[in-house]
Amino acid sequence: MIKPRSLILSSIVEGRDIWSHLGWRDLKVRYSATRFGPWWSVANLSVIVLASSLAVSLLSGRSTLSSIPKITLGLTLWTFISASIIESTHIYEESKGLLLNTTLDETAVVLRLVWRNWIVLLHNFTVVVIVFALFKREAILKSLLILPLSMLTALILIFPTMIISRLVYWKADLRAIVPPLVQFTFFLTPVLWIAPNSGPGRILLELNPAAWILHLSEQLILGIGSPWGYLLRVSLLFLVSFLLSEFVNRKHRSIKKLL
Amino acid sequence: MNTSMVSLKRVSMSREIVGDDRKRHTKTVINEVSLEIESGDRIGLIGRNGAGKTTLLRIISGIFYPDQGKTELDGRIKSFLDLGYGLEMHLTGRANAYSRSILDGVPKSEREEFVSWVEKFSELGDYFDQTLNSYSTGMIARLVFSMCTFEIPEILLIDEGIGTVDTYFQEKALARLEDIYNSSSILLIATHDQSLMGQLCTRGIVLNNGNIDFDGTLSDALDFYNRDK
Repeated sequence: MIKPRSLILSSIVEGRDIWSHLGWRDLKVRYSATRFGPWWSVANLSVIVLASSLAVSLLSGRSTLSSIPKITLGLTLWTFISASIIESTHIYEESKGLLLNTTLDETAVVLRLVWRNWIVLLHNFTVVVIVFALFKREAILKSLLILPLSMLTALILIFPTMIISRLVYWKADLRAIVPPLVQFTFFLTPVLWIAPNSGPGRILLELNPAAWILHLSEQLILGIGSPWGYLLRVSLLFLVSFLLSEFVNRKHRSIKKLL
Repeated sequence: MNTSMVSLKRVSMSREIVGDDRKRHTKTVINEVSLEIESGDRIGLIGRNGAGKTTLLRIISGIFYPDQGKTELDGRIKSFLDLGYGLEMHLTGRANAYSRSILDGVPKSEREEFVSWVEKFSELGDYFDQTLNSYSTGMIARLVFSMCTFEIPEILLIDEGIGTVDTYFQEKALARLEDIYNSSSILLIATHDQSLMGQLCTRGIVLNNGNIDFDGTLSDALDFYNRDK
C-alpha cells in the first residue's frame, strides 16, 4: 500500500537517515576543494564580529570589549537564521533530481537545509567560545545554552523555510525579493544595536520573532533581564510554527507537480 | 516468482505549466486511469511524448501523489527513471555509491555490501576513489548502471530503457539487465523502441493525453498505436 504523505514529525523521524546524510553531503561538496572546510565559515564570522564590534564602538561610543559578546551571540544566531531563509528560495530547484526520482518527502528537503546550516552553526560556536573566553569568562559555561536555543531555532525555522520554498514556486519574483528582505530585517533586529526600553526600537523588538530569539539568548547567557517572558514567547513561536508546518504539509502536498 | 500487484482506480493528476504569458495553466496529465497489473505481467507503455507515460510511472512508484483515485501496490518496487539522480561530481565514486545506498533506502547493515558490489561490478578500479570530475561519460554510465542494478526488485518500472554504456561493459550490463528483467515479477516499460518492447513485453497499453486508449496484447496495442499515429 502506498503510504500517504507523512506528517512533519514522521518526516523528521522516518527520513532522518536521508536528510541528515544530504545535509552533511551538501557541506562536503560546498567545501570539497578547500583545505579547511566549514572552518572558513568560522573565519568569516570572526572577521564580521570583529569589524562589526569596532564599527559599533566607533558609532556608539561604547567600548569594543563590552559589545563584542552580545554581537557574537547575535551574529552567530542571525547567520543561521538568514542562511536558512535565503537558501530556502532555491532548495527545491537544488533537490529537483531527488524529488522527481525518489519518494523523498518535500519536508526532508527543508530539513536537509536547516540541518546543514545548523552544522555550520556548530562550527561557528567556536567563535562564541573564543570570544567568551577572552572577554566574558564568567559566562563561558552559560554560552553553551546557545546550543539548545539554536536547536529550538532550527525547529522553528522549518516553518518559514517550508513556506518560502513553496511560495517561490507560485510567485517566482519572491526569489529576488527574499534576500534583500532578510537584509532589511537584519537592520531592524537588535544584533548590532541595543533595544531601548521604550519607543519605536522597542516596538521593533516586540514584533520581530527573530529578535525574540536573539534577545532570549542575551537574557540567558549574558544575564540581561529575566528570560521567562521571552522563553514563553519563543516556546509559543515553536508551537505555532510546528502546527503551521503540519497544516502546510497536509494541505499543500503538490510541490513536486510544479517542478 | 512472488505474487506482486499494482492497482490503480480512477487515478487522475494535473500539473501546473507556465505558459508564454508567464501564467500558470493547469493541465490534466492523467485522467481517471484504472489499471490492474498482476505477477507475470510484462507491460509496454506506448504513447507519444507528453501522453503521460512518465507521470504514470511516477504515480505507481509513489513519487507523485495523484489528485484523485486510489493506488495500491504490493511488492518491492524499483523505478529506473532518471538513473543519474543525486550524483555529486565533487565526490568520489565510492562516496556517491554510499550516498545512493542511503537515498535508495538500503538498510544500514547492507550499505557496505552495496558499495562493494558497485565497486566490483563497475570495474572502475582506482577511479572508484576519485571524484566524478575525473570520469569519462562512459565511466559515469558504468557507475550509475551498477548503482541502479544492485537489487532485483519485484516490480520494475523503466522509462525509455537504460542508457548506453561503453562496448567493453555492454555485454556484462546486458546480462545483468536480462537477470533483472527475468527475475522481476512485474515489468512496466515506457519506451519508443518497439523492438525492445517486443523482446520484453507481452501486454501493451496505449496512453493518449492521460487516458488509456487501448489495453491488450502487445501486438494488438502496437497495431492500434501505429494505425492511429
